[in-house]
Amino acid sequence: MSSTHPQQAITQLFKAHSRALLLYARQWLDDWAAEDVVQRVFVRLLASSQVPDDPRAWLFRCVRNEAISAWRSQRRRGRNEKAAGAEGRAWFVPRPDDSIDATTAQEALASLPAEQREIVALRLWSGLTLSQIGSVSGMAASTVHLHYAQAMNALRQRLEVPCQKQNR
Amino acid sequence: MPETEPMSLDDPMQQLAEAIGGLELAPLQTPIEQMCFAAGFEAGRKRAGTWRRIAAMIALSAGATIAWDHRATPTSHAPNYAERITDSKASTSPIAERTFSPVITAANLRLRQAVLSNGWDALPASAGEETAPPRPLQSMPSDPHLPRT
Repeated sequence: MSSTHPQQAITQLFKAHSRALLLYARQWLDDWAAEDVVQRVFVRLLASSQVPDDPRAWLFRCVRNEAISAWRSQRRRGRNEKAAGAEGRAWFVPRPDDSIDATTAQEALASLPAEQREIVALRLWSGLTLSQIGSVSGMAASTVHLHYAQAMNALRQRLEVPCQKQNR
Repeated sequence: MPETEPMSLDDPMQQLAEAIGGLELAPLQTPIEQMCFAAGFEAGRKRAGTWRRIAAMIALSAGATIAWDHRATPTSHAPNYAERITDSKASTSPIAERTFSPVITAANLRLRQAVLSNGWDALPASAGEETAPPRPLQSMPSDPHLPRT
């Protein structure tokens, strides 16, 4: 653990990764529960005043554990939660220069199986390597790559992007 | 975008990944300042809880010490006659036993009255010999200060 300017470092971590962490938590939870999970993790990090050695992987691992725990407790209580991505707040902020429509991309991501969706969220927005994703999600790197390739193929079909035509 | 790795996708898939990854993620509704406040509140609550636990432990240990001392000192200073008699029976002769348990009988009372009124001459010649019981008192000694009835 490094202890130099911990609050400043944590603030930087929040600015850099909070959105990706929120999206990651949304793979299991609805909007507000996902936000609660991310908030709890950052509050814990701020209260400890110590930044872990690999803070990015630590944050994603903590959010994953907290989100799965919250999802299980919700399921035990028998609450009829909405499926992730079915309704609620948007995952993305639409911009005019986006090459893909944000709402369509959200729907396509939400239609993926849970394992593939988790890998895509980690791969595209966390900045973690395949081995780090494997350590966070508890899978082998080859399994991570397999899930990622399958997910991208499914997304391509869903978004109807003519990938092969672009090569000609 | 993630760094290039050996197991990377082909170009079209990479372009798709870049397009999806280029979308701007929705921010959290809670600002970092509010989380800092919550973290400070949490840290203060933990610190207060720690002091509360320390105070409770001190109070408990003090109470236990007082209770232990109170238990160690005897609660009553009254002599335990039953214990003494038992001890004397176990360790002394029958004479000593008679000394510790005087039998108040009419004969003894009469003897005491005789000693009080006539002095040591009223005692029998020898306590060990078989003697006749003292004669009964004919009249009680009169106190000159008491009114006559």
